Amino acid sequence: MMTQQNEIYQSPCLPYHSIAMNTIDTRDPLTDFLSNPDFAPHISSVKHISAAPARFASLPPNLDPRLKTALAGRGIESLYSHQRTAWDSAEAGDDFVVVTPTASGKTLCYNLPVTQALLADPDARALYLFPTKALSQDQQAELNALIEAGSLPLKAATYDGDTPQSTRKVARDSGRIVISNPDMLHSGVLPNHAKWIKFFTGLRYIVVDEMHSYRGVFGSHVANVFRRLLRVAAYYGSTPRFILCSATIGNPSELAEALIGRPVRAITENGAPHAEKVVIFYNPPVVDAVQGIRKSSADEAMAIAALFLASGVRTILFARSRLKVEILAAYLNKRFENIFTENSRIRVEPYRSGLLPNERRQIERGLRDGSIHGVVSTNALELGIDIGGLAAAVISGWPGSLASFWQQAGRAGRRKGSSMAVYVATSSPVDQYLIEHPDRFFNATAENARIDPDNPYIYTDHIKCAAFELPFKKGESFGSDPEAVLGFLEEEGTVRNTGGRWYWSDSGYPAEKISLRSATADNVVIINTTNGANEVIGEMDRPSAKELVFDDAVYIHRGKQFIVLKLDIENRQCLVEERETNYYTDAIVKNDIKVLSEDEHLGTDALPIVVGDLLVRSSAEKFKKLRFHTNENIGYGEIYLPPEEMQTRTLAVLFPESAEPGAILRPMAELERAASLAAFCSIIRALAPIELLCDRSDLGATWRVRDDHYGVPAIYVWDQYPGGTGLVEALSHSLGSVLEAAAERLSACDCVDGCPSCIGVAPEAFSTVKRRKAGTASLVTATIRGLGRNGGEAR
Amino acid sequence: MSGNLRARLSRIRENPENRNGKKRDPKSIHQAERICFPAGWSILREGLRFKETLSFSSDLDPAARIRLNLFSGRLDLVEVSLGNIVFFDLETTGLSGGAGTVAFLAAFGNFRHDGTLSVRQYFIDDYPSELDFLQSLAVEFTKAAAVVTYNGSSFDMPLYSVRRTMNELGPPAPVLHIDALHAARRLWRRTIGNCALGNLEAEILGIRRGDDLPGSEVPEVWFEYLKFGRTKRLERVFLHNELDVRSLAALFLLIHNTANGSMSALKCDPVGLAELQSRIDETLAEQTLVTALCAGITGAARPLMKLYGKQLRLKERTELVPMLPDDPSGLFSKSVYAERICGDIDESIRLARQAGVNAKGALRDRALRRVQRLMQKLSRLGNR
Repeated sequence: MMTQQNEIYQSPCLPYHSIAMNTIDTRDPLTDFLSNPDFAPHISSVKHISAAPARFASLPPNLDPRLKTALAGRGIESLYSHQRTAWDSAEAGDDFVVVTPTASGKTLCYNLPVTQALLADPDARALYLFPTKALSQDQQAELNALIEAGSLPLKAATYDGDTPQSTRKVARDSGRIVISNPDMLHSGVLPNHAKWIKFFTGLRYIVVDEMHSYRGVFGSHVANVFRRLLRVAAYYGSTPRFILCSATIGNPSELAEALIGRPVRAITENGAPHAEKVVIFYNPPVVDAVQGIRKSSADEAMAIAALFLASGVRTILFARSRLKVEILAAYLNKRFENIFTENSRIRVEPYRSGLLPNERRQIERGLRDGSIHGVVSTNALELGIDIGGLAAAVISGWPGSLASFWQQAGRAGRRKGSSMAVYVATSSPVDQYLIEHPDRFFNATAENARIDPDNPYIYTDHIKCAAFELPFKKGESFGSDPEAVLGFLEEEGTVRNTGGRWYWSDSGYPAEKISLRSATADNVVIINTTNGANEVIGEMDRPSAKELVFDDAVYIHRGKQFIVLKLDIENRQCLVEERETNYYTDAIVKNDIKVLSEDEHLGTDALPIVVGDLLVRSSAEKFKKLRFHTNENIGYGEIYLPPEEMQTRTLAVLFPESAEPGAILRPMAELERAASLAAFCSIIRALAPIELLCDRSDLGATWRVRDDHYGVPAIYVWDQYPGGTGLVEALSHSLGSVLEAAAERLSACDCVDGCPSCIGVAPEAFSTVKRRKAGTASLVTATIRGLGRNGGEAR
Repeated sequence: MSGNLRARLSRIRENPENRNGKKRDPKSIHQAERICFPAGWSILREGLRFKETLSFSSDLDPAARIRLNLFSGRLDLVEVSLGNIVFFDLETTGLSGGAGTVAFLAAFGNFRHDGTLSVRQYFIDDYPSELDFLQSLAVEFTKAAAVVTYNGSSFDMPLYSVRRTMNELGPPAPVLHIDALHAARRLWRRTIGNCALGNLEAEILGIRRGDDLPGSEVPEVWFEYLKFGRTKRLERVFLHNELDVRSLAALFLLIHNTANGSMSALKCDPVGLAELQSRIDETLAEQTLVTALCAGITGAARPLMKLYGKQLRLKERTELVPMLPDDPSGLFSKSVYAERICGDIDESIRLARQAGVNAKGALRDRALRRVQRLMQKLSRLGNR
């Protein structure tokens, strides 16, 4: 991990002085910022990551002389220590994962062993997988540079959705290294493996970069794609090895093992040097002390980005949602619009998913060539797409994980020279917890990435694909229980069991209907119909569409506002028209639940915890209209859409009256009890992402004063993906730590009686309840004791 | 968590939303009418069936030499006798290809020495017989001097190759393959548009299939046979497959004979026809284009000019310019003609201007530059 070898210090006095001691010129933008009277008082700490020297290792003695020449041609005479460790692991025939930060030369960790193997055996092949097409293109360029430098007799070919039909055959037949993505492997390569005989027969290495992005739903799918890949490779007689690379997460080898189904060795010591970086923690001022409301993180982050941009610092601003990205980019451009200042030449673009590929490429190019000075992005830009060296990253709100945080911070200063990253906290409990604990950013992370390859929906989908690819033999191994699923598919009529095999027996092409990235493959297309146009401007998965682009919703695309004329769920299209509005829209979603099974009973008698299946029916029936800038609620609208229903995994925490936590609830008035449970629920959901590598929106939660199923007060936390992705199971192990963080947050929060930074502002229904925060705090503390943990109250 | 996978699967199945409209009445399985297998089929091996259908056509000469390069620009001069050509078509479990798409029915047609068309069909009762099926197909292929398909270069042939790989038979032996779709498109794409075999059959061959089964329903019929033993619609699949091969043979001959001038096909685009003819005999192509031009088809002028150009008959080529259509490139050529041949600069400017207005891209730029140059030339002449 980046900081292990580096001395990190928190300034003992004012942050400004600690930086000034480094004798940075006073006109330096960093110094300007740290001394700016508008911002300086709210900087809670400044951490300085000093530059670290490289740790070298010699080139391997058996390195192919052509590779030696290639490396020399690129000025490389020795390796970083981790690159050498990777080489040695490959030599030993291990599957391994390299865990190092951005710009640490990880590509050589796989390029060297792979090219060595391909040079030694003219029939050998390798597959490189990147999570996005843009990354594939970058890597192809990188590989070609190495190949050219050593005049290596190797050919690397990109094979993805953008590869023209005419060059696909060449890529298949003569690409020694095929660069692709899991989606293409899933829907294009594996179902057509008979056209890839040479490739699969010779397949020696599978390189998986950005492994940490294969978590949750996507990871659970990709683990199954790897099962299929290994199955097809075995059919052609090959047993490829995996080389994986990951950003820093808590459990790299565990995730890697879950993904590939084999033991994986983790290489975590980083031998690469890095430049100095200053990380600034900024907590926006409190504007309403009673309610504990702070100034908007997004607005403050934008003001900081504007300050940087105006002083010529090329800046990336990260925001949490697509909507925020659009709004902030529009504000920034408006701010620089004044034609009487130099600033009118500053150009800022929004970057997010849902833009068309050519729009994205245009922005990436603009950032590289300098014609675009700033970019506001969702995490879409956090992966290693080359956008050149930016000098500052401003991160509005916790990006959901340390891995993401460091990748976002790493977008500034990928190359040499010092850079800065500003973390601007929101009022949310996670942000407020973290801004109090900046050390969490620099110490070994506890965040664990989870997947569940045996999620019944995902697993079933991939058994279909696998049956299409090769008939299943009786007794063949594939995941937890292939025959259970095949029996189910046989009844459904999609496979046929005959002669000891299961054959695909449906006219469809299963991979086509299965998307690796979203809950449902059926996306809604967003069509701009302004002035009779009929142009596709974006796409969205169906459940999100119901909550974001319902009739009369405001949809924002690259700064332009559109109003939704008609969301046609049946035909999967959404017609929009350009219209200027002074508000945006936000749906109010309601959930109904029903317990389907009790699979695991955990916890204690005082605090039973049950993990099982749950039916969740969610419906959006109303939406709010919120004024831009002020977020003032200026009206409501109705939504007429059928509810979404799903079966998923849940964790229920029960509060029987017989024990302490439940006994605390008993004497409370009905409304007070409800308010405490609601607050309890809200803080658990909010803080869970500190321990689990997931987004707050990956979890749903609700509470019951008297639960229909268990007959006692209860709270439910569920996985928002049908069938679950392992989050709930992970939470059952780390609930104690989440509760302890909650207790700490509650005691540290200086609000009067609950605020967005701890348990949330009281909804109207609970506005009469007093001592909400105290009630919640005692419930949390009792719950921690109920789990058999000591402590409880904050240190 | 995997321990309860079966329980979870059955719960998911109970949820009506997850049935995806695949509701099947379980009773229908028991009531499945097991009519006996359609007549005329013999059993070659367990699970592999065979049927031959003969039909006589009077005016055919199986010894006739067929010039295959007519059908493919990539072939050098290749002649085979009609009797050695095999017409081939597969019926499969899906239209999208991929490793899970299986061929369960194949038809081979060829003309025997007495002029009858023999259609031989192979059919499998279930998946495990596929290996035998493929081996029978291989034998048919080895007997053919050339294989003719319709859209076979993108569907039937690659699928056959994939099926062999899946059955560990290795790649197919090389065979001379002609996809008649390419030639058909030349002749009818501009006049009819839809060049699907069924459509050409109706429009060109004048065949009306009475009770034809749509191709998209074919997979379902085989699945019904597999799963429930239903044979009711099987007969229609067999007929569909047989008729496809018959029509293919008829269409193939029609294209060949139209090109060599011994027949004339309906709604045939002379420009496309000339393109095919120029592969075997430029005189035929020239005749077709001249006839078309005389009939007022201005579209024939440009290809005829190209042909003359290739043959270095430059004078004749130039004489055709006034007959070009008034599209931007025609207007441009006429403008050049007006300047160089007629010496009429005003007219030449008018034509170039008109070309520039209607053209796009590079031609537009060229036309506009031309106008400019002519204007300068005109003013120079005026000054003199």
